[in-house]
Amino acid sequence: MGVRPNRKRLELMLMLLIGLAWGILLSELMKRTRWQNHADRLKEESSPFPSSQRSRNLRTPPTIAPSTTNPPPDILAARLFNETRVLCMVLTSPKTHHTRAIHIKRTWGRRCNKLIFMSTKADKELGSVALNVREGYSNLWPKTRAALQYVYKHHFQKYDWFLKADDDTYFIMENLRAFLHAHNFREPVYFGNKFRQHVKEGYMSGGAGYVLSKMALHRLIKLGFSNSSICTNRNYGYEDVELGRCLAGVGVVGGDSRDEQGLSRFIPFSPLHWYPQPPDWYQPLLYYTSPDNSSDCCSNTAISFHYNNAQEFYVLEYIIYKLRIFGINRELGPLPKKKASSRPMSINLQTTKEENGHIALIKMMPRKNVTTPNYRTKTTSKFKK
Amino acid sequence: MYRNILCLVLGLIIGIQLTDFLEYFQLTDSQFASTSITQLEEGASQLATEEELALWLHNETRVLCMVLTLPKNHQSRVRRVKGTWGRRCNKLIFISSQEDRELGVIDVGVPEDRNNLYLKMRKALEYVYRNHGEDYDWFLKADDDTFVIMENLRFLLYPYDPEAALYFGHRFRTTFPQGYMSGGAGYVMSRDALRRLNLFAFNNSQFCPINNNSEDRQIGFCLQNVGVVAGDSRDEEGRDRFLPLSLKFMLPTFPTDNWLPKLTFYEPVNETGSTSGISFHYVKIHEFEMYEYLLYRLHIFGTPLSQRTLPPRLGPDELQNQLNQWAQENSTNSNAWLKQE
Repeated sequence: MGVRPNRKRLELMLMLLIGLAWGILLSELMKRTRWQNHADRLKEESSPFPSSQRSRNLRTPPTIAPSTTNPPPDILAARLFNETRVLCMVLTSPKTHHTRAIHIKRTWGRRCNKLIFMSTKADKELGSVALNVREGYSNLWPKTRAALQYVYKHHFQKYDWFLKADDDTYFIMENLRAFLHAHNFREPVYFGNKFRQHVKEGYMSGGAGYVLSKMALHRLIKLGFSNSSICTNRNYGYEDVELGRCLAGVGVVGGDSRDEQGLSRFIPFSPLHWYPQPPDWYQPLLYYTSPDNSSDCCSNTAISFHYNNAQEFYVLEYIIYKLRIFGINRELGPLPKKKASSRPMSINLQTTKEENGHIALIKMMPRKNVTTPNYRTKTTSKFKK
Repeated sequence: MYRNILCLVLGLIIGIQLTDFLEYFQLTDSQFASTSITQLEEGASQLATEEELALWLHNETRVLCMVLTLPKNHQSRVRRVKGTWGRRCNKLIFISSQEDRELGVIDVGVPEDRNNLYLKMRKALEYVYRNHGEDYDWFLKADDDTFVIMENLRFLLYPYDPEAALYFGHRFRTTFPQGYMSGGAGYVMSRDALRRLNLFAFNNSQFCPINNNSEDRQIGFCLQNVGVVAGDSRDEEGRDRFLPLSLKFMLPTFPTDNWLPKLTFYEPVNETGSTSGISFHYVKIHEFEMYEYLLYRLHIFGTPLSQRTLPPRLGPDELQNQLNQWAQENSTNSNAWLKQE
C-alpha cells in the first residue's frame, strides 16, 4: 500500500519531464525554421542594384512602377511662387511683338506672377500695353518711365517685386524668387548686374534686367518722378543709367546679387554665345572686382541671360527645364535664409516728405499691427507679417 | 491514466514557455545583435537612388567613345571634348591622321580628305576591334562637333545585350531598306556588331565595298549586310534622342524647310525635345563648355523630381522579338524623298 502512491508520483513526474523535453524541442525547431526563412529573405534583398549583366543569369532587375509622365506638384516652387510675387515688365516694340515678345510669353514669361509687355501699340494676342511715347533706342528712358508709372498705377498693390526685362532677356524665375526670398520687399532696394560708370553708387545693367522692391518702386514714383532735380524728365538718355541715378537719389540701395563665390547671377550676355570667357566690354563695366581664382563668368544659380534671339529662348527652355540627365539632380533646396534688414545708407531727404511717403505706403498696405518707424531716432523697425 | 496525460500536456506547455523565456532573455542581453538585425532589414528594403544607379550603370554598361577628328582641331575641339562629355566615357579615343599621346589621339594612317572619311572610319573600327573589341560593351562613334550625354546613352542601352547584333543612332532612310544612322548625331554599336563588321564585312568586297561614299551611309550598308539590326532610339513619346542638327534647328518643332524631314526614317514628331536626349550635332567650339555649364552645373530652385529607375533588361526571347520587329520595319516618314539619292 505504501509503494503504490510513490509509484504514481513517479509516473506523473516522468510524464511532466517528457512533456517538458518535447516542448523545448518543438519550440527550438519552430524558432530555427523562422530564422531560416528570415535569412533567405535577407539574402535576396541584400543588393539594391540589379544583377550584373556579366553573370550568365539574365534576370531582370526589380522594377518600380514607372513614374507618371507628369511629375508630382513642385511644392517648394509653388510656395515660392505665391510668397515672392514678381511682376514682369518686358519692354518691347511693335516690330518685335511677334519675333521676340511672343516667344517670351511661350517660355519664361509663363512663370511670372504677372507678365506685361510695354510697347507703343496694343496687341491682343500678346497682351501688350500701348504707352504714349515715341519708339527708338534713344527714347528708352521716357518709355521706361511711362512703363513704371503704368505698373505703379495699375498693379502696385498685388506684387512684391517688379522686374524689368528687355525682349531679348531670358529669366530663370525660380532662381530669381529664391534669391529675392532672402530679402525684404519693404526695404528700398533693387538688384541686377551692377555697373560702375556714370553713377557713383553704380547702376544696374538694363540688358541683364533688374528687379525693384515694392518700396523702391514707391519711392521712385512718389519722390523721384515728381522731382526733376532727382529724376530727369528729358526725352533722351540711357534708361539704366538714368534710372540708377534716380533710385540713388531717393535712397534706394543697389543690392549685391552675386553668389557665395562672387559670381554674377544677372548675366548681361548669353552663355550661348560667350562662355566661359565673357565678352571684352563686360569686365571694365563691372562694379565688383571678379574673384581672382575663378575663370568662370556665371553663377551656378544664374537668374538672367541677355542677347538671346527667339530660337535661343527655346534652346534654354529645353536645356534648363525639359532635358533630364539620368542620375543628375539639378534641383536645389532648401531656400537660403532671410538676411537681417539693414540700412547702409543714411537718408538725406527731408523728414516731412519721407514720413508722408511712408504713411501713404502703410495706408496702401492694410495690415494688422503695423508699427510706424521713427526716423528721428534712426531705429530700424520691421513690419510684422 | 488521465493524470498521466494531464502531466504530459503540462510539461509540453512549460517547455515551450521556458524556451520562449530563454530566447527573450538572450535578445534582451544582446542589444547589438538586435540593432544590427534591424539595420540590416532597413538596408535591405531600400532601393538604390537614381544617382547610385547611374554610378553603378557607368561600369555596368561600358561604352568606348571613338571621336573622329583632324590635326587642326586637336588643340581646340579635341581638348574640349576631352574636358567635357568625353570624361564620362569608359574609354575615349580620338581618331586622326597625326598622333598626339597627351590628348589620346591615334593616327590611323589615312590622309585627311572629304572622300577618305569612310576609309578612315573603317581603319578606326579595325583599330578599336583589335585593341579593345572585347573590353567594352558598346562602341560609340562621334564627330568632334558632337555633344553626347553619356548618362542618357547608358540609360538607353541598358536593356539590350551587347552580344546582340544591334546599333542605335538617328535613323535615316536611303536606297537600301534598313537605312543608316546619321554620323554627326553619333551612333553606337554593340560588341557583336563591331565583331561582325570586322570578321565578316571588311574583308568582303560585296558586303562592304571600299568606295568614296559618305561614311555613315556606307557603314550602315555594311552593317545591314552582316545582319546588324538598326534599333529604334526614340523615347516613349516618339521623340528623337539623337539629333543630327544643332539644338537651334531642332527646337521647338521639327524643321520643315531643309533636308532633314525628307531623309529621316520615322515620321517626325512635331513638338521636339526628348526629356532623355542623348546627342546634339554641329556644336561650336565654345559650346562644349556652355553645355557643360547649362546641363551639369546650373541649378534651379525647386523640389527634386521623382526618382527614376532603370528600364527592365530584355530577356533572350523578348530581345529576339524586338530585333525581328526592327529588322522588318519600313520607313513611316510620309514626306517626299530626298532627290539626291
